[in-house]
Amino acid sequence: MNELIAYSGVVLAAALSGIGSAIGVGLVGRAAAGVLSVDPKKFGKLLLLVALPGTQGIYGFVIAFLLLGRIQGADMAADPSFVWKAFLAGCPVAFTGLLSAIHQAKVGVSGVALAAKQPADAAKGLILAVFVEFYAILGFLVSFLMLP
Amino acid sequence: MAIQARATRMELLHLRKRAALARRGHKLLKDKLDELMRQFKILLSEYLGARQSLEAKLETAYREFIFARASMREESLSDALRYPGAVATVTTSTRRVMNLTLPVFDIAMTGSYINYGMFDTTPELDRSLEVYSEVLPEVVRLAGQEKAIGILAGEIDRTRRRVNALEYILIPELVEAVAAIRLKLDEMERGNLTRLMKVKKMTEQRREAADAVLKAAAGRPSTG
Amino acid sequence: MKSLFLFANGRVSALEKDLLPPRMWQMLLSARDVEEAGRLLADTWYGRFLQGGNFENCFEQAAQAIEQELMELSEDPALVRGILHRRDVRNARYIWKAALSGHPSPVETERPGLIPLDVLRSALTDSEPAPELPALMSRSLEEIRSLQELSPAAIDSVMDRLAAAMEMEELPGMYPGFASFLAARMDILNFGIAARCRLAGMDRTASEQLLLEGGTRKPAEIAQAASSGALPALISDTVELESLGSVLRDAIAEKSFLEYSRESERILLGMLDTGAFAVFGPAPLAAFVIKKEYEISHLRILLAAKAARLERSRLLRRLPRG
Repeated sequence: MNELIAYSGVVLAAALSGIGSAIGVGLVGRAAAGVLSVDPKKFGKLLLLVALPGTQGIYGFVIAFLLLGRIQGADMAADPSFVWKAFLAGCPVAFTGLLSAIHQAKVGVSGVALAAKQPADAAKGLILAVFVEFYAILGFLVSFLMLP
Repeated sequence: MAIQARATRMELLHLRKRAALARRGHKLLKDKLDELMRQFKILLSEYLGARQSLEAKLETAYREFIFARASMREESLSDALRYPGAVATVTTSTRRVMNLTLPVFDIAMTGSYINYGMFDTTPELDRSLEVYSEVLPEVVRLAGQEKAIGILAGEIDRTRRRVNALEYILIPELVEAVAAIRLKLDEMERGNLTRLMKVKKMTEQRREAADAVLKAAAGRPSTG
Repeated sequence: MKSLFLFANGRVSALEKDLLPPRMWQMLLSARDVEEAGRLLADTWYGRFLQGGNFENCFEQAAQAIEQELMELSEDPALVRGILHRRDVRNARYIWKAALSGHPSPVETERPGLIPLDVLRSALTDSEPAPELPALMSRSLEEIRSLQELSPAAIDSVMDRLAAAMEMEELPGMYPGFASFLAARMDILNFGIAARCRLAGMDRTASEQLLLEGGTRKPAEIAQAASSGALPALISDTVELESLGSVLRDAIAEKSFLEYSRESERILLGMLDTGAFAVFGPAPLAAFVIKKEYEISHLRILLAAKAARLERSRLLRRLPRG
């Protein structure tokens, strides 16, 4: 029964950050498609912006993968708090992943508009989006360090 | 010489009378021409002044109208102008100058020239219609003036032709004819005179001859 | 998720490059004649519609292309309705006015918006309101039918109010920016109407009837100001239109609204530019469509002025460009 608590940490980490990334990539992807419908040459510039909210899903997946390994190799009877540690370790990447992916997507959409209107400033939009990425990485790191 | 006349004293008197009449007519027509020219000049200067101010006003209206037409949709513009709100009535009358009847037009407008919605129309349309409605009476008056000037010019032309005909053709011809008749009459008189003198001379010679015969008969002894 | 217009706004932000840049306007304004302006225009987005130097046709097709974009991109039918019903109202005005004033021949109409012309024509004779006719339009038709005196001016007054009501019906609720833009535009229109009425010598009640609802200033307020000669003071006290006070004063004094139109359009274009910065929601698409409308209107003015050999300075009194 206790195992389920530990496994739900895995589920949270993979699912929430995955959902966040899916929404995020979807948002930026639609905006980018709009630009590309007029100006297909912009694909290279927009690719990174579209891909950026996808990273959260990868972080979540990595944490989920590592966590799964730890759970399977652990002796739960020896450490009763293990299940909770495992659960909590999944949380940071799950929530930061979910929220940062969506917000990064919003910045990304603005970046897409910026790249379309002022192609010279395309890189600046990307940098702004990368700032949001920073907090996803922090969440990923905390989750990583918390791995039981 | 165009006038063919018998060289009689009657004809001479007649032609002289005609020449005097032509001179009097010429003088009268010349006076009329001067008066017509004076009227013409007055009318023309009035007309030119009015026309100039009208053209200036029309130009402003046109320059506004360019903006009205360009910033409105064509359908909107024709819709706005399709239903005129103002009614203009033209009244005509005449005036007399010398022997001529000249037209006078006048116009009266009632109602507002703005008879369209304000949503799709531009202020420039109001403005150009305002100017157009302001100048409409002037345009109509100007039309009357233009016609009057035309009539007057025609009359001047006709009168001048008459004056010229009298001055350069009829009067010189009459004068010439009179002179010619006079010459002929003089010639005839002189002919008569010489003929008379010749006849007189011949009768005198004949009488002298008869006298000589008589004298000779008296000098010889009588045989009877 | 509420309609974010993501694809639309992405596409619009790329399409915005087709709007004529200020440098192009400078060149167009300096063009010697209409031929040169036409040549310049042929190198822009309008070039693809320009065949044989027929500008009217070119602008018509350009407007059609923009509307096509609008209909394809808009995720909210209210936006399409709000923009295209304006033309339906105009067509209704042409058709209804002609039919009710007994104008014999069929009148020119614009390309139908969302309502077919036949529906507008038959709406006059049908006893039941046609389902295609928006509620506001059938209500105005009822109002026209119940008029005491069926004069073109009376019909115009009803149709003006309808046009204003249709604009204000759905769009302001869609997006806060629309509300302020449309209110400012209605205010500009109302102040213009009040000043025009004043110049035409109409009295207060007559001009109050011509003023339209929907602006931030109520018609009664504007009519009051107009009758006391305080229009410029009132407009400089109205949000967004503060700078129009002296312009309106000059307009009334000189009887020329060229600068008033120019300055008010400058304000509206500024508001549209701000609206285009948003990346979510209907604002960029709507701003783009309206900006194109203004651009076409300004080009028509420019070309007409060039064709009439109007001097550049006079053209600059009207065009908020360059």
